[in-house]
Amino acid sequence: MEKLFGIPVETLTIVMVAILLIFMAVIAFFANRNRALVKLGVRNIPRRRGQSVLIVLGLMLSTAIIASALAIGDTVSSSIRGSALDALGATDIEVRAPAFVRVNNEYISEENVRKVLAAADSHELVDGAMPQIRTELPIVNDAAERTSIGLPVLGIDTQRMGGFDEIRTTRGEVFDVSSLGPAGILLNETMAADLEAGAGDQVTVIAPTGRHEFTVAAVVEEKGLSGVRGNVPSNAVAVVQLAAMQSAMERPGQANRIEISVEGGLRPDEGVSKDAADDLRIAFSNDDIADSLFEILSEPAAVAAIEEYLASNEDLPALVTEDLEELVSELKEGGEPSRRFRSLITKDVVAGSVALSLEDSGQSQQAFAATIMFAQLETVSVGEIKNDVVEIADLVGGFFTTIFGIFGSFSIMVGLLLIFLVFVMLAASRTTEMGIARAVGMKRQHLVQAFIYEGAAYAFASSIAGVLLGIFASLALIELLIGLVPEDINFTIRFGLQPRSLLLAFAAGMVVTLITVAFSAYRVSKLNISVAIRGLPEEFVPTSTPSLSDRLIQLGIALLGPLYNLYRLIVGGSRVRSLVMFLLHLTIVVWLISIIVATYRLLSPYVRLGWPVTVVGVLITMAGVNASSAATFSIGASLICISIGQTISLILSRTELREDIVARISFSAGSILLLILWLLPNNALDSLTGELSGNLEMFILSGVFLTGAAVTLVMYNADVVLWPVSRFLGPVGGMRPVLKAALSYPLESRFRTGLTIAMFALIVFTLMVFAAITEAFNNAIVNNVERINGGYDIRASISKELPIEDIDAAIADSPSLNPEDFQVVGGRSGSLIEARQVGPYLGKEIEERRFLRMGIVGLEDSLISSTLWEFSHFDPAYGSNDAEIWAALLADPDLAVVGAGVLVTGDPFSAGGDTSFKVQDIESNETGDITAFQVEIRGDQGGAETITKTVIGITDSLAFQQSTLIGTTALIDEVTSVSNVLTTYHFRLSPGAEVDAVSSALENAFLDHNMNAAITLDEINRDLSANRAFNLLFQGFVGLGLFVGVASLGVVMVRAVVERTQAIGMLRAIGFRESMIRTSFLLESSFIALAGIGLGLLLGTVISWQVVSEINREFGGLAFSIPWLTVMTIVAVSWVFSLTTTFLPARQASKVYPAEALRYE
Amino acid sequence: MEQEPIIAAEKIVKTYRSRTLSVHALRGVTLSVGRGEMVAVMGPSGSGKTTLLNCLSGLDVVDSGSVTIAGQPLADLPDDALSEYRARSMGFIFQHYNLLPVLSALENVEMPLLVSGEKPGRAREMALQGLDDVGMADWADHKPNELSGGQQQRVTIARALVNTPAIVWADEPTGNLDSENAADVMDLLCDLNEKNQQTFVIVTHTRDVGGRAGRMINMRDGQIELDRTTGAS
Repeated sequence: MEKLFGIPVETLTIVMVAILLIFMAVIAFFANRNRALVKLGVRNIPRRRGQSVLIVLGLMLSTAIIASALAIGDTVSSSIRGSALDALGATDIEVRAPAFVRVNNEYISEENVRKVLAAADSHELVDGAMPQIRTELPIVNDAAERTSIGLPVLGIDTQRMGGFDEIRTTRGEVFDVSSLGPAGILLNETMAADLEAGAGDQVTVIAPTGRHEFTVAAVVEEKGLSGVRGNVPSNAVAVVQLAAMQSAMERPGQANRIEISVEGGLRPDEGVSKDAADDLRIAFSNDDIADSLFEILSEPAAVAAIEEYLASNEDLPALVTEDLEELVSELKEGGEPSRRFRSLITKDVVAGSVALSLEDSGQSQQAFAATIMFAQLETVSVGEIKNDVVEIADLVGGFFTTIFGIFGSFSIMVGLLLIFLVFVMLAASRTTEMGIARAVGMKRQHLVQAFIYEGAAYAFASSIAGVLLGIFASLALIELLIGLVPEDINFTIRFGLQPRSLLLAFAAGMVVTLITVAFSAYRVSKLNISVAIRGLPEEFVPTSTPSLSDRLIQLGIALLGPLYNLYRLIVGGSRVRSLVMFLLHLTIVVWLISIIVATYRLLSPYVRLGWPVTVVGVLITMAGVNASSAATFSIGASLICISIGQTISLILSRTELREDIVARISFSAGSILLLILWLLPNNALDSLTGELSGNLEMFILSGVFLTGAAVTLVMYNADVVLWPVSRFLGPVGGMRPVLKAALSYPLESRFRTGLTIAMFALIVFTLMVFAAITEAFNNAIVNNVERINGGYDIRASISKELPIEDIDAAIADSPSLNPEDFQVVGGRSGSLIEARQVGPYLGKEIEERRFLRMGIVGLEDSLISSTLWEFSHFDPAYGSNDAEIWAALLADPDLAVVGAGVLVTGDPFSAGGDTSFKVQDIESNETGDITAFQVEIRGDQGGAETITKTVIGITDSLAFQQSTLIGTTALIDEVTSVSNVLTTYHFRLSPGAEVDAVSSALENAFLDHNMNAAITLDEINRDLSANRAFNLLFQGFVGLGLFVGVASLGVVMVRAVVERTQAIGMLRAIGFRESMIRTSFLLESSFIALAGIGLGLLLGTVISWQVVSEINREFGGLAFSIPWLTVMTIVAVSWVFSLTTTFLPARQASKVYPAEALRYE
Repeated sequence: MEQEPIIAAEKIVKTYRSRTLSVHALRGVTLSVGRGEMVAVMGPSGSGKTTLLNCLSGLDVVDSGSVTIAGQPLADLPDDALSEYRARSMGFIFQHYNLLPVLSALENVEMPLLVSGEKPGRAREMALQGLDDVGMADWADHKPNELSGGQQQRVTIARALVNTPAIVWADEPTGNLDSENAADVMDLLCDLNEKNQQTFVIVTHTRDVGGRAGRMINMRDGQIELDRTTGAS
């Protein structure tokens, strides 16, 4: 994996390690200056070994989560990369017919094959070029009655093996390819297994020229030339001589690809590949056209247009952005067109983006000229196939890490809260000790240092342990994933964790732990000596606020950061301290933290007043409305809610009300307002704010605010919440005193308990939301099968080269098929076109729009009149239901419908840079009636005449997800010059027909057409199981966070037992039995765990219900249901683990003799 | 007057052991305490006073010898039965008060009643009465950290006496109090002893306190050095 959150992993690692090294250097420096403090700090570690182990366990979880997210990303990346590279072997570059030509004819002419081979052979970086025909043809093994359908047969030039890997038999022996005769065929392992054929067996390849007999020469490995290319469902490949394929396909001297191997062996060398590919691109592009393009594009207006395009399309894929930026810099240099320029303009995506940017800037003429030139630029298209595979693998791996990182962020946050909790409790247990230390002359900074030394030791141990745990956790999750990947999915998962990722996880884990430790140490050090010695609560410490001028000066110093420390270093004072602070500020993290702290200190007196927060909240809210940003708006509105709580507190504190009542009222009011705000349906405030756009950050924000508010509300009203529990459990077998003891302690320590509850709530919230949304989608699929498959039981594809003349007649003629089994049979064809919306629409002129690419699908009449595919939007003027709209389409050739991809959605998961045709003024989430609109369409690559169609409906996304124009088969003839071949057939079977049997019979009957029949229900189930597999993997990952929650509960409970030893002795003295003490601790931990789980489930349910309702408005067919099994599993697993963690300390507490407990100090 | 013994100890031995050290806290102590007696156990630090109290009250186990409470040998009682006995028939007053910091004074006093199965309403009534008896009714809703040392000790006394136990064990009940508060607390204990005829075993190192009890036992090195009546009550 190369990039994470868009930042190169290498850079991230270097930065993290650098920050860590600075931290460590500073710690080492101070440690060396005062070793006594180091001893004071670290001597605590061996003193209570059990506690130390527990602390390391607690601290390592954040690192473990970071490590496992990286490991999952690396694994996905290395799996994709490994599978693809294995299959590619020595092949680095692939030469094919230019993209616009390939739609009609994918073959490279004999002359061009010769030219490419000559150019490649004479290139110093190329060590092999292999012309080949790779196409899908049926192969039959009559003896075993086995057939392979839709799998590639490859013709290779056996005289040109130089530079490519040898083909090896499954026994590892090199197969002498030159011995492969014109009737010899090699089957790779999968193909041989599919056909149940071995060396010496006869097989038949069915080609457009008829049946060709071959003898299996050997069964070979699935690598290199006998490996697959691209993302295909099977690894099977058969290899014959190129001449044999040329004759079978009637393509003498031609090839449909030429694979080129460059120097450097199997592993990709990006630079060499690029250089060789560039040379070939230049060699096979037209110099004059390239010069003319340079002339047009180097005009300042054109360069500006491309720059503007880059600036306004921030979400373009990084690969496109990089190419375009390079192009701009080439154009700006002026002079003669460079090699790189010539290479860049041959890339389809560059050509497309340049044409779009010219059109966008109103330079239509230039755009048109450029489009024509781009289309005529190259004779062949040169692709860096190996570089592309590596880039895609990294992209997908990065995507996985990002997704897991985002959803794992709650777990990481919870892990950090745990670290904080651990240190706060550690400090609490040493308050008296620290008070005495201060009383005998230790400075505050000494306490901080001693704490940091101890924390650094824990952080170091826990980061190493965390990385190891992360590896084990990801191994377990990946094992789980391997078990869940359906067998028929051709994807081998290889565990891969790069050392760099390990280093990053370790450094990141240790840096965040150290920062948290330093923060906790600072907070802890601010103790009041006498209060600490007497062991009184901190609330007895009076707080004083520095004057405004002091606070302003502090902020100024914080803002100047390293400069201020540099100044101090130069002018004098404590030089060592200034140097250290200067270095620390250079890490930026410390600088940022000190600015935040100084700002907080400056504002905190006003913050407590309430109204200034209201003002800030209002300003942020308004900024959010102006920028249409849901996140900014919500943060502002949340601040207003919080400030209302503060204001209430301020007003009530001037009354006679008791302090605890004031706190209860004000905190409850603030929390309730926050809950209302965040639980409002997404569009509830649209009339006030206009439409706001939000992304995944809204999920994280809602989780944080909702759980924060809910936990606060519960903590300040716990007596009310727990009243029913006391009421019902109290009378049961002496439970009343147990309940009192169990619940009083957690309710007294609101912060600690609230934090632990929040940990559980956040994790369960994430699990619940994800599970409920997946469940809704799965239910939608299960309950709406007809909306997906149109009511057709079988969908079959055939080779374009082997069309079926008349399928009805063929079925009637086939001895293996019974026409009675079929209720509907219909074919469809497809191609690519360009389209733009033309106006007026809804009384408004449509702004001038450019032509954008979209798919086109032609359906046979039998399909149009029988389909059950539905529309999310349609014009009631053409019909009152789906069937009537389809009928209207059939009746009028000027009408068309479109797929759901034409709608602009707010889908946060949709990839950026979607440049397909989109419709204006129709909202994806407002399903129902629309007014028909006009589109102008033309064949792909421009040039052809345009025609206008009236679009009367938009299908739902379950039927046609892409941006596609749908009409009769005649529509395709009308708009493109491409041969209109039906390549897909849909079959609806009669009641009683056996779908499995008919599907197999269809494949057999249409073997000569390479028919590959799929049962639509099976395909849907496969998608479902893939969804479930991902959901499970994800739940497993997020579930790691539950362990953080459970661990924190363990820490809290172990600490509680230690803190309360005397109280336990007293309770035993007044008659508490052992079992009562045990039950009381178990009840306490159950209260915390169940409160967290309950809140998480409740909030998760409401939020997922909202999300599902919103998606339902867009797509329809989704019904919210609570995934009870998941809910019960979450409750059971987290509760049982919580009880298990608490059981040991509880047992330990109950077993202590009362006298011993009373003696404990 | 010959009193019926409610507490009887026979040659009890208790030794604390660590890896490097053995401390013989009790070396074969034999004693009996009659019903309604107020006994002060005195002696220098480390003489075994608190250990004796813990062993007699069943808060700790003896290594050898036997302790009998109201005719029932403690060694024969399983832990649950012993706990129940403590709940119903014993009250404890500690030097460090040992109130539950998270409960109010009233809730602290109420706790032993709830443990003995008293109904909540009745328990609250009795607890309030208990606090009233020690002059703390006005402080019922305050948590321990809001009370002075003397006030906390009064709450502890109320908690120890609220279910009118047969035996009250007090370990340095005035140890953390100034002389005025100490005198108040002792007045209170003596009054209650007189009024309710409960047995009091008070561990103290203060001669003034010891002098208020009817019988004084002096301990040294884990043995009873002197056992005499003072004629105080």
